[in-house]
Amino acid sequence: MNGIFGLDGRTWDIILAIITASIKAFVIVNGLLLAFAYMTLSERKVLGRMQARYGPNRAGPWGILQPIADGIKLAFKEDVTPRQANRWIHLLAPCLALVPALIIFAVIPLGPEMEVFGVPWTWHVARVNVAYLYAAAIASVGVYGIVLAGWASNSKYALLGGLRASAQVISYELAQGLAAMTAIVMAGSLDLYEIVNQQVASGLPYALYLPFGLVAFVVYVIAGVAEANRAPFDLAEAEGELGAGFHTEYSGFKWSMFFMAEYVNMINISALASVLFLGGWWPIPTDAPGVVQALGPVVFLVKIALFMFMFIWLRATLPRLRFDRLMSLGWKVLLPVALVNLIGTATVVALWPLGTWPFAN
Amino acid sequence: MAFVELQSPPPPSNALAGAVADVTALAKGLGVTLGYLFSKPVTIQYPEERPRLPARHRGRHELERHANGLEKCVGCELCALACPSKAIFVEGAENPPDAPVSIGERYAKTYLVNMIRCIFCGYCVEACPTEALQLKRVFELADYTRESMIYGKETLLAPAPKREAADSWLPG
Amino acid sequence: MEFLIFSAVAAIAIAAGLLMVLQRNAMYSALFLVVVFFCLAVIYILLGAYFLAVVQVAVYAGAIMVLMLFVIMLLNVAWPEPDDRVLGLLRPLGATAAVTFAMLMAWALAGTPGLPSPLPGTSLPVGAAMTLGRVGEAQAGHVQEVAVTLFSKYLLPFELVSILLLAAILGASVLARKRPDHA
Repeated sequence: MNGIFGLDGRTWDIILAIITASIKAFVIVNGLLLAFAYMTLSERKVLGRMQARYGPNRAGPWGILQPIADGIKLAFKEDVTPRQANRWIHLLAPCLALVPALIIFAVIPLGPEMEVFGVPWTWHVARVNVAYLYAAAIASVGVYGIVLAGWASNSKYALLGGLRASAQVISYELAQGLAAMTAIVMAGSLDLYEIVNQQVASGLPYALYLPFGLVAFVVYVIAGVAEANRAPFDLAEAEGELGAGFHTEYSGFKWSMFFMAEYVNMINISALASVLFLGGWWPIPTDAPGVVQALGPVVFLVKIALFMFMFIWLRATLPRLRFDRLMSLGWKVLLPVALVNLIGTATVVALWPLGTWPFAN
Repeated sequence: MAFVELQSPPPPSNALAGAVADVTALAKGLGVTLGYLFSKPVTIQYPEERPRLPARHRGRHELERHANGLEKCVGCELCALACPSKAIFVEGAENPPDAPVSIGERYAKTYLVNMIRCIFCGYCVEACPTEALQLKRVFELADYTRESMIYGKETLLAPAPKREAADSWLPG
Repeated sequence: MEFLIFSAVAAIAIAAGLLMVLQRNAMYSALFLVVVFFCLAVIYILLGAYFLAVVQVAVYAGAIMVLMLFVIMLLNVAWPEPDDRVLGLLRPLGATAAVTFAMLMAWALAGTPGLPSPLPGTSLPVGAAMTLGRVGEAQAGHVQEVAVTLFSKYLLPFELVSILLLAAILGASVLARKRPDHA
């Protein structure tokens, strides 16, 4: 491509990078929002069936137009800002909740790196060698949305809800991070591609490495549910005590941004859990490159969907925890378990080279 | 004074037993919800699917007729007296002998039931000496104005010509 | 390209830093400080130091500033007008500190040789290389490099800082504990 329009190869590469990244980012953001919309529908339907009722089934066949109807309703609802609220931060908070949730997906590999008709193709926006840390860091920025929403609303319900939610998220981040470190120590890399490749190479997803992998997986999932502020850890939205928690004073589109952030965060947590512990895009029974390349993204989406189902299933089943029990579960159970588990993993990894694990069978 | 000590379930013998019990309980709960996921919902898809009403459902009032077409109501106003929410208004009149409306000496010239006030208690039916008044199984009573919720004889009298088509699904 | 991004981010960082100092509202100050942290993270990325950038966001923006916000929220401080006597003492002190810091930075920068190319494997800017999947092999060991340096060359300072932090945590726990005899 040298010399076209007088631009050299390096400039062309930069332009190509910008264009591909923009297109991928556009597709991923819209995909996530579409997934959010239909996640709300499937959540309502599955919850309904678990409670022996149908769920929404009137808007379009099987209710498939329900998210569109909901979206139109939310977009046209009055957007109330309380008079005593801090107007700008009240506006900033939902943005700060949604944007981090959306940009985490940039580093998540949907499928293996491959060549399509000789052109290299990758299923990510950016391959970063500290991808997991990036996801964790951006997720921790999402807390701002909650804290600021609680503060800016100038309402006691919102303030207490915001405090609860952010205390909870910060507490469970630790256990979640330590559980993720187990997989990272096993793979010897923070790069999500590398983590999946190592699992494929070792022939077993990390969740099946007994006992450490399984314990880390369970801790990660529990902490993930708490991170997403989902039942049974949805203390922030304990409607009996706090109204709607930190978004009590939100309505209309700003409210729906919090809603989107919650669901996109669930998708992120599911995707990260799949990558770290279930082999990401790897269709577990086989590792033939052709099958992996053809089915990879589908397999990955199926794994995400299973996690999303688990989120709904838990919500349908479990009652909400009391706040002090939530905190002691995080600090006195999950954190020590994850820490001991990580030390155990590190010991085993140090004693036996990667891939020759005594427990891996 | 004797105090009764409330018995809490015996604590598990050790931490492991406790954890096992907790996980078992969790799995049991999850199993219940999963079972319901594959069960048939109890929801009645209302406008398409009609509810199966119990035999003695108390719906809208109906003023019965004898087989010969004469009204059973004799305009005694006992139903209006029995009504705890004062939803019934009856104005009786002398039954014209040449063109009788009811079988008695009197008949109900005006019979109004205010369906906004009615609580469907059925006391009016119990009070009726001639078994003229019945609560039937019509339950779709919603309407747009207060005025239209005051039902007169033209609506209440059996067979209600206005509602006949709508009621045709009812057994009996 | 890199220069454009750098200039923009640097300008934002300076503006946000100034706004942070000049704000009366503590909440706004805290938020502008977060903006500064993010700008720093972007500059780290431009230099190819992802790990540092991510840690910058996770630790400073994600953890420390959230705690600061907690404090501001919970105390809801009404800031008193500063006392003139205190200001009279603080102003020269602050000015001295600022000038000293600027001189130190200038001295340190003057001694630094030209910065190495951020990405050894490629001539592309960092963002483009990440998108096209052409991150060089040398880049993969970055976290390892940091870890090795930290645990060999700088082991003593690292452990000292750990002990300092541990002492701070213990002190905080002791202060926050409810004493049964006083309650």
